Amino acid sequence: MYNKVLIKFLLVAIFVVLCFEGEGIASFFEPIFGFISCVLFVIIAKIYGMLITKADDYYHKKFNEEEI
Amino acid sequence: MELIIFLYLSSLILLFTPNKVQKTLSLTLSIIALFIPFTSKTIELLSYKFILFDNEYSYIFALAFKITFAAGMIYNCGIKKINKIETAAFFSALASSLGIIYAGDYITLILFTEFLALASSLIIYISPYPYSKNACLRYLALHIMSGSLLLTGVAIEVMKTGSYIITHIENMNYFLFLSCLINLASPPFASFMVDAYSKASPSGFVFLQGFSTKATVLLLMKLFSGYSLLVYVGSFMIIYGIIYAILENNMRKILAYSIINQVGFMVVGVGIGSEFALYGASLHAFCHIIYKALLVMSAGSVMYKLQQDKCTNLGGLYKMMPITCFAAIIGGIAISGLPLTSGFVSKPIILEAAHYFKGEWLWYLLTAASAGVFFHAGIKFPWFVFFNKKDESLEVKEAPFFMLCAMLILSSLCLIIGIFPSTFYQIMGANIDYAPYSDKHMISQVLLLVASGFAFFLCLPIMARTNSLSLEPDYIIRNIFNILAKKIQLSPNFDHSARDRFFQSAYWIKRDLPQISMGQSVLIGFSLVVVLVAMIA
Repeated sequence: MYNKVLIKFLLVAIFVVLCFEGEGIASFFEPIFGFISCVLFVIIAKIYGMLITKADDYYHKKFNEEEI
Repeated sequence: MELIIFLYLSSLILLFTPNKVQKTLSLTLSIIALFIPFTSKTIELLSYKFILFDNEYSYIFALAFKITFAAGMIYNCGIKKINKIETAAFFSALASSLGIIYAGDYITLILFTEFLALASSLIIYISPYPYSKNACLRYLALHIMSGSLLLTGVAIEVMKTGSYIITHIENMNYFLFLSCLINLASPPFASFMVDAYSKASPSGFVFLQGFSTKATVLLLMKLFSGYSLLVYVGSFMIIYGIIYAILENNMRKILAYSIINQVGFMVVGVGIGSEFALYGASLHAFCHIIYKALLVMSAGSVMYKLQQDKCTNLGGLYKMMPITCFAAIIGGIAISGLPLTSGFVSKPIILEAAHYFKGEWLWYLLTAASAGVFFHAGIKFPWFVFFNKKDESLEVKEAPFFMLCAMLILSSLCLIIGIFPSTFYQIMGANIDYAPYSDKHMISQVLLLVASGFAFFLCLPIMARTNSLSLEPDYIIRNIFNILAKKIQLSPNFDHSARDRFFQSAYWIKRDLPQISMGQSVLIGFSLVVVLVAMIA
């Protein structure tokens, strides 16, 4: 639990410091764009996953796959 | 040419070598192969000229294949009891892949493509893991389809141009294009590759990931460079790989989806088609083969030691397998393109080239995808396997010595390439003017990855792993055959009508195809080759 909090804190700290090391406000664009993209990927995956995610042995049960 | 013959001969020798000397001999032969240069040659056989020639891009691919092969052989020595047929198949797969990338005419290309499909299928078939044989037959069936498309495409091309020489195709040949898409594992054909690769043995996966898809990337460069359709195909592959890797629970499948994603970057480079973009695609293929081999090796070591590949059953291994964990982290940061690693000096070339493709949308997409790569392969794989909450029952020792050696060699290579990019470009003969270590590029890349990492830990609660799988387009194909097979079971007699004969075929495909022995499969493959030689004659 503490590790997770620490990691999040460090990430925010590095993120903020590096942002100010760049080219002013313009350097914020790429990290924010990257962050939004990742969150979007997760949201898309979650919604798509609702339709296509099945139990691990789904194929074996449905198609009666047997080892040769 | 001598190199390809040497590898096929090595494959034969290994088949008849006693088990005691298998490891030493295979390792020695792989290291010798590393130093045999390729020489272009034309061989006249059955009044047909088989052409093998080197070009500026094939050198890059061949070097990556040979380095990964030698490292893979070191890794293979770590396995307690190696299978001599599998080791022989590794040599055949390398020889066939080199044959594909050096092929100067279509018949040579077809021959080596078929040989590679057979060697790869054999590697999957021999795997000790459950359901590998079924996966192998699905993989082989798809490659037979791809081979037929290739043959048809070649026939059309030869009729159009009157020449067997492989040159850039001016008018789209959809048969050849589709055949390439299957071999690239582009969606909707990706599931067969993911399914088969994730069921291969630990060392089998190392060799499979490197050869088939990358050899096809080079073939695309020869045939379809500059076709903008490839940019859209590549973009789709990139997104597809990321979404499925995020959903996946099986660590080896995560890496297989990541192959689709990375090959997508290369396909985009080929689609852009400028010399700069093509070098970008080639150099990225080189780096990708190496860091993906490293990731696959680290996953394979965990699989080998624990016989587990699901993230739900893994976690907290960093204390027990520190060197394997280190290799996974180096592979993870290299695939993400962190400064001082190989990904940082290859992938940005494609991003730079994307600026010149019909508007800026492609650059935005590739930038978003770069963040997504760090998200799914750079952090997700090491986190869930090595750092996530530890299962108390997991007790394991570090991977065997040879496996560690192979991983450390490839880790060093990833770092050396990243630290000395100009030397890397020079050795690869890449005639490009690109300096990756500009202040702007370094800062923007680090910021991008930090933001991606931040997003990962923020989304962690909703990304909890469950013991599940994700359906892919192959579900539709399997389902169709399943429904047809059920129909035939209900049918009282099979033999009287055309309808029943049709259902009978479906029943055979569903029920009996997996029962075909490997000997029969090899026989089918061999007869295909015989038919081909007869056609030439």
